[in-house]
Amino acid sequence: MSRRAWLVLGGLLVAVVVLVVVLVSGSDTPTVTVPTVSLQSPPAPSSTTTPALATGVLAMGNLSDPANTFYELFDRPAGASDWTLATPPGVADNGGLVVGPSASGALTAGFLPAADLTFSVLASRAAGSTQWTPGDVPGTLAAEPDALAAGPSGQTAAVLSGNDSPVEAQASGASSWHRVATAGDLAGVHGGCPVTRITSVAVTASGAPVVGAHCTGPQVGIFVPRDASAGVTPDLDAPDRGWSRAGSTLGAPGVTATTVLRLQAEGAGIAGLVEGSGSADSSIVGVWGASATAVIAQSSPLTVQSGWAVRATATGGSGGLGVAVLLGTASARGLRLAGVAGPGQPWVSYATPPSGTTAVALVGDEVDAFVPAGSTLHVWAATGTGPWRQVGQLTVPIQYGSSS
Amino acid sequence: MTGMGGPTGPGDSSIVAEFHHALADQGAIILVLLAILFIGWNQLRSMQYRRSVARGEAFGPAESELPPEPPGRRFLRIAFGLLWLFDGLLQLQSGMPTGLPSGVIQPAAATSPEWVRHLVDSALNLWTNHPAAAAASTVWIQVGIGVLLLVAPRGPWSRGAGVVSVVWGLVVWSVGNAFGGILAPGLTLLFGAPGAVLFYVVAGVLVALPDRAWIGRTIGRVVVGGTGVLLLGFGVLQAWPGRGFWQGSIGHGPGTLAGMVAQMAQTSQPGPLSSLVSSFASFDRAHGWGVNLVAVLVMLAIGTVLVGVGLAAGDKDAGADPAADGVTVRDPVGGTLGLLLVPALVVLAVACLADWVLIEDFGFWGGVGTDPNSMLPLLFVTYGGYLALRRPSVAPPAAVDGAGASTPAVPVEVGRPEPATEPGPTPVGAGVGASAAAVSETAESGLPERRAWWEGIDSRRAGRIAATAGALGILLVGVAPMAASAASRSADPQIAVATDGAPNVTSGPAPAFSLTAPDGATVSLASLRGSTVVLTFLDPVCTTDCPIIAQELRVTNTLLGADSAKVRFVAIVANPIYRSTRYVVDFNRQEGLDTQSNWLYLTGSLADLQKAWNDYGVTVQTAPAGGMVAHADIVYVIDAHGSVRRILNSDPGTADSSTESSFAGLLAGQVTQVIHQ
Repeated sequence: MSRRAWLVLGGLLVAVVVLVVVLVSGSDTPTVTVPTVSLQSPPAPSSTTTPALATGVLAMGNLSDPANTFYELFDRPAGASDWTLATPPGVADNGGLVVGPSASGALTAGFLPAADLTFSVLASRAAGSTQWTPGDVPGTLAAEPDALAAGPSGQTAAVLSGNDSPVEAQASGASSWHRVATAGDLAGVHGGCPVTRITSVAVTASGAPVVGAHCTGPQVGIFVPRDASAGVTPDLDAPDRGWSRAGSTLGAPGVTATTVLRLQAEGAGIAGLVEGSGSADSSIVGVWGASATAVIAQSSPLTVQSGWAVRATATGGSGGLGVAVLLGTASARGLRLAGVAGPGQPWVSYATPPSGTTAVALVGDEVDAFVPAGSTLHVWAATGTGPWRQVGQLTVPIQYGSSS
Repeated sequence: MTGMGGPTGPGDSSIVAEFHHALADQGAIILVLLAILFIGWNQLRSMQYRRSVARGEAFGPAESELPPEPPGRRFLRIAFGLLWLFDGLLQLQSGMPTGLPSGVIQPAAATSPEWVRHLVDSALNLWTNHPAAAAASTVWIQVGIGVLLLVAPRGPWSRGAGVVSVVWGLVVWSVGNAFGGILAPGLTLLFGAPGAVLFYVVAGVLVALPDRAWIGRTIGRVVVGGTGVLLLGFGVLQAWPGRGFWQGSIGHGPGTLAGMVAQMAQTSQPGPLSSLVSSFASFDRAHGWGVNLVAVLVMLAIGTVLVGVGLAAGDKDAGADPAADGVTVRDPVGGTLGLLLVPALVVLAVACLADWVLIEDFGFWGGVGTDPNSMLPLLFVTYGGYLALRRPSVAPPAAVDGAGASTPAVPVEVGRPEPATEPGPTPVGAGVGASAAAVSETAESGLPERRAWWEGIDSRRAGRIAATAGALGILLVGVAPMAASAASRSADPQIAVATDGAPNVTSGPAPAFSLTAPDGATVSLASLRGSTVVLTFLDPVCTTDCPIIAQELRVTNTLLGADSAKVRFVAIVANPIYRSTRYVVDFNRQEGLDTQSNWLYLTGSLADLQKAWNDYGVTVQTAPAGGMVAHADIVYVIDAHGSVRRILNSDPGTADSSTESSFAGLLAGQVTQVIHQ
């Protein structure tokens, strides 16, 4: 080969080496990689009213910036006229907050993962106390309003995220958790429904867990233990893993899937909301069970027109069996609030909630609407189908910038 | 337009200082190299001159036996040599180290397809991890290419300069320019598409071609015709409806071109120029349709003429007008096309210059401008092609042997020795490839006199070699640090210093602590004597800083290599509420630190923790309303005897891969110093 060719070849070789060095630079550098989980969308705002305490969870701060959106817990003890900020301290809650109040007024709250925190932690508070005690849960909580439930004697049940959405329970005073059910377990229940995920859990007055699920069919996916006396430890070796389906077929036409949106213990029984979706409009149905094993009663269906969606839910109210749903359009300009007081009662449409309402609560005969504006929470109230009036305003010390 | 952005962010002054320091050091090396080369060459000439005077011989280089460099090649080589030199000098701007990725490279790729952005981000790691070294390297690489093109006019080194120009140009075009934006929307020749540096690549290819490729008009036809095709294509694109160029205004806002120009006018630049560009933006907004029409017509008309010339030009002369030097100067194309060629080129030049001033705004204002954009390179390539067309090289006459037969003529390259025919009195220093020991008769002694080896070296050629060596030296000074940076295992520690400040070097006993490990064992500072301790404070349920700091410590452990056996990484819980062992275990598992043998995450009673926080100056404060527990981000390096030797601020800042890698590298360096001091 001529000298010229060697020189050209040498030049090309040098050039290629330079190019390779540039393009593969850093391939041997130990990288700083922070483990993350695929974050769930936080649950929709919700409220729960028990005989002792009303609680509500909603997002505040800069709602267009996830790092500056904080999920705040407000509570209002029975007999009190005002709501109070009650968010547990110690953990950033940008990922969402779920709450499991018990009938006694005790409260358990769960923090969903956010940013680089990949596991959930709990905080619990005794009835009448303002001090929170840290707790843990064996996994990451599901992003559902009723993913956490507290029993009357200190039992706790939690729906976890994951492929099979397992439900874990902890007996009162115990440090360990045990598996109660999975979506696979419930899907195999005789006469059940095709369960794809578990969406809610409640613990009745007898300590029995009740589980709500998403089913790909018209059946309502509410499951109760075959042996309610077993408390939060159903016999998983029993037929159907110790579960049976309490819900019936949703009383709405054209339903191809049902989702238990809310499930709360009301005395010995339960109350909740189920959404049925199909080809066109969806439907919302109130559901009740007088006891853990009783047949579930349904309200008439509330039609949710196309373009509208569930923005918030509420349980409780006078008698404790009320359920309400806040519907909104995609632009959030349209708002509609409806509720039903109990089994056999019709749906009642309330006056159009104030603009900016993101959460509602049923407190006695009153329905409260929460309108967050940055660090300020405006509280409105209406009695029955009467007009709304502003009844309170709270300034919340949002910790902007603390999570970024 | 990319590159014409704003100033660098706060905290960059230390990186700029490092950049200047690197330039100064590398510049000193280059100066020494050039000085050595110059002194050597000058010494050679001095010695040759003295010897020639002593012998009474003529001094000076012999006439070159090489044919002259093709005018087109010469023009391209010098023009792009100057452009590379200018671009290299632009890289000296203080904003380059930290401003180039965010102000130039990433915006260029922002609207390109995902795979382009991924390629750019991968290559960008080198720059963002070593901003000062990469910026300094780029200066010398581009200056080196420019100088090499200028000082090596012929031969393999000149062609090698073309090759290097092609390679570096392709690197810049692909990862620095996102392929000139040809895959992004809004493509227009007026604003720099298909990428200025692509013309540098074309020129490099032409310079790299062998001399015989320049014989005839082929290169000229290809370049001129190719320019015509480019103009036609972009003319059609410019005329395409729906791209916003026909409208001066769209709704209440400016049209595509007017908006781009208005943005250019806001770049930091001299006031009169900004006013001029802004005025043009206003003019385009009012007369967008007309401006675009003119642009389209110019591109299509000139493109048509150039394509026609490229197709019609042949090696047969349209008219005979031989020049004395043997390089024929004849009309390459006859007829109308031939008459239109020069006017078309004049119009193209005027249009390009107008675009360069009014639309591209010279291309390099704003603090991170990397080049004068595309109009000048486009003009240079076109004119080079025109010269190749108008003044092509001719093959040297074939050699005729004694029998009258001719041998095929080949272009002669510099350095190839021609057989001497009539050895006559040879000037000193003029022997091209001459034997090292020439022998000549002396009149006095009658004995043959041996010449020294350096007497036979052509001083002109030696000068070119020295200059070429100098240019290569400049290139190497640029390439070597970049290669070293690419091989580095962490980002430049200076990035962390710019973010968090320099480590605090100190000396004093480390406060004692006695806390609990996840396995229940009691761990005290005293029990860690004999190891270097890297101590920090982490919140196990933190959502941002603490996981990042934990990973930085994990990488630091890796970077320490064998020294990691002498180090214990200790974290103390910094949360008064979520402080039990179960959260520590969850955090360790989350961060993958449960398997690192020299990692300890300690907790204890609230009183014990508060004592440790106080002793180490760490404030820990809970926040209301869902806020995270606030605590200082700090790392202590404690030597094997229990003395605090370093204190580092470990705030992740922007928490990108460069700052994180840089902190890990900085900490590893500090720990290594403490271990070995």
